[in-house]
Amino acid sequence: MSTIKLETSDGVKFTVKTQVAKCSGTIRTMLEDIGINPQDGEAIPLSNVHSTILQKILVWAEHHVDDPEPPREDADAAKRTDDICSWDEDFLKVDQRTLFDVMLAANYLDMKQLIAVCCKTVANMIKGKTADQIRRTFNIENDFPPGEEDKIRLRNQFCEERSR
Amino acid sequence: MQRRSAARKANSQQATLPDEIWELIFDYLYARNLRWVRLVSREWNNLVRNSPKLLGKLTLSIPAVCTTQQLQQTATTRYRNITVRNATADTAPKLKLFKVRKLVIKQPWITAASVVRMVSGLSVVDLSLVVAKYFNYELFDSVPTGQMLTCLESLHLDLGDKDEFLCVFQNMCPNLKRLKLKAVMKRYLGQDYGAKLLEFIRTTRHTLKELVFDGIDFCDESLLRDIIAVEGLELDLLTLSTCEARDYDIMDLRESQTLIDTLNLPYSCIICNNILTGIVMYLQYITTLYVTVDFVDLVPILSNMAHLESLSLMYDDNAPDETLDLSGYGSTQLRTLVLIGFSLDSTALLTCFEKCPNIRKLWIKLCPKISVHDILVIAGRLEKLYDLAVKRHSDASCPENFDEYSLSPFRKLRLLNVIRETSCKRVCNLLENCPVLYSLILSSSIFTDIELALMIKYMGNVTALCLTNLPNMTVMTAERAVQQCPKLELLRICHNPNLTRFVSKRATVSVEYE
Repeated sequence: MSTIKLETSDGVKFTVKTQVAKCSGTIRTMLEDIGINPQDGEAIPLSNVHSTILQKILVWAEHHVDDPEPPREDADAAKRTDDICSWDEDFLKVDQRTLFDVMLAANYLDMKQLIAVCCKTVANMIKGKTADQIRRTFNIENDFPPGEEDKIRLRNQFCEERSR
Repeated sequence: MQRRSAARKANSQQATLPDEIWELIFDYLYARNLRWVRLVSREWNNLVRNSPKLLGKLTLSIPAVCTTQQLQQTATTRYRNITVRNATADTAPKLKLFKVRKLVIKQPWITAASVVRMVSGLSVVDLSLVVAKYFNYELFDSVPTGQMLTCLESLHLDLGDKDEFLCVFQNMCPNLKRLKLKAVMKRYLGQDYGAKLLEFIRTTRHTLKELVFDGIDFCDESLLRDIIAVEGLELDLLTLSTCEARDYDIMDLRESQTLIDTLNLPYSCIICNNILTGIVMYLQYITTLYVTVDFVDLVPILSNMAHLESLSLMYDDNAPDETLDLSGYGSTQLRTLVLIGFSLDSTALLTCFEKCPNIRKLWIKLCPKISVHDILVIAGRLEKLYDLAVKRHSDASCPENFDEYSLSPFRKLRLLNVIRETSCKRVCNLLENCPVLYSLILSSSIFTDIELALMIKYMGNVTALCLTNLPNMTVMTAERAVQQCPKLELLRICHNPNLTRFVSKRATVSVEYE
């Protein structure tokens, strides 16, 4: 089975099955379109990914390598967040920093399925919470000048939102 | 666009995400979540405002009194979902400011001509017309003809008793996919109107995929059968809610419309065994089933529906003798289970749940022979359970089969609704086992005030609390709830004689009555 080498931002080299590495759209493009030859033994540099995160992402890719292509979703349909499989759910039981780092790396590596499942996880952290609870969850500062918050609140009332 | 502030936040040791990823995340939220997101920070508010996709989830309601300038000033013209109330002659030009995708018109009174004037020239995809009562037909004949709503895919008419209005849209909607008609009164379903409806469906048959009828009595007419028999009509979804329909029509329907994947049958339409058995071979791809039955031998029928995700069953008898035994049923697809009025056996239900690990919503209402304790014990086995409602007829005691088991933790339970469960200890025990609960409804129980005060201790995560028909509850306990539930935002008090004038001492808690 063919393998390729990947080098992370902190200089760690990983030898990865080509098939697993191709879960990343970025790597796939490099191999297939740009024609980087993995036989050369040179590692593909992933300057935006730290080794601890790549390690984690490779575990995910290994587990999902044989997944079928997801069906194309209707753009208008409300997206579900309750369909995260239990393996992924356990996989993403990490602290927020790691979760965000995984998302950033998955974004850089162009791994749509991993991004989707992370987005669902974060969306579930937002659902059912008030602005203040959301701020606390993500440690965000309330930077509205006095009065502006009320203005948006008013506009929110002006908007009648009951869609599901 | 907000790189600057993203960088600023990165300094504070806090992991952060770029806007494009937040936008992807927010896309998974409902409008009600987005409303809170906008209040989190300026950055997030701008993100939602500047994203056509996210703004598209929100609806703008145009008030009766507002000027064109006002609308332009507030940058609200980016909205694509618009609700219009009490439209006047000035409303039509205002709508032209927007690229309206979804339009809801709510009026007590409207004329056919003004509707056509309002929608013509807009590329509306989804149009709803909700009219309380009166319609004006005077201008009916002066409706400009030749108007085309080429973008319109979904038409929802809620017209009280003036259903001829459908004719206004005749020959105007070449791409209609979805038609929803609500509350058409029976007396208008005579030959004349039925013929008009049929004609409308016939002209849209090549594009029409979803039909929703609400509140229509099909019993005395052959209308339902005639609709189904329209040649070239291939529906994906048919809903008959609060409709009256005949068994044999439904049987015909399944035979001629084999592509339907969702069939919502009305509760009012009682399906007996041989009818459901007769149509079951057409139901194998069905994902949602909502039906009233008068028999309990349901497992063979359900086992034929491998794709079922939502199952709502109601038993059509007040005193069921036979027990519904679901032990032979199991599906990993099933997410919603609603059982109303059946005699249940707790051991059989446990066996069923072990084979349905993905149930997220479970409502068991008015089911005798199963104790609340047993329901709670076995519901605790459903790891993904999110929404649980238990409602009992009376306080008549039931044998508790799972006495020796303790409650297992409800890992994901966020909504809990317990009606008429009397033991305080049990509720406390249950709340202790629901670590993420945010909405709790307690009603029609004879908890003492002290018992209620005891429960409050366990409501640390609750943001919405509804207390209905709790005659012993005092003002002091309600105050304590406000003080001791740090996350509480909504306190709803219904039918509590002691609390008719309760005012919350914390500004962040809003109190609702009835």
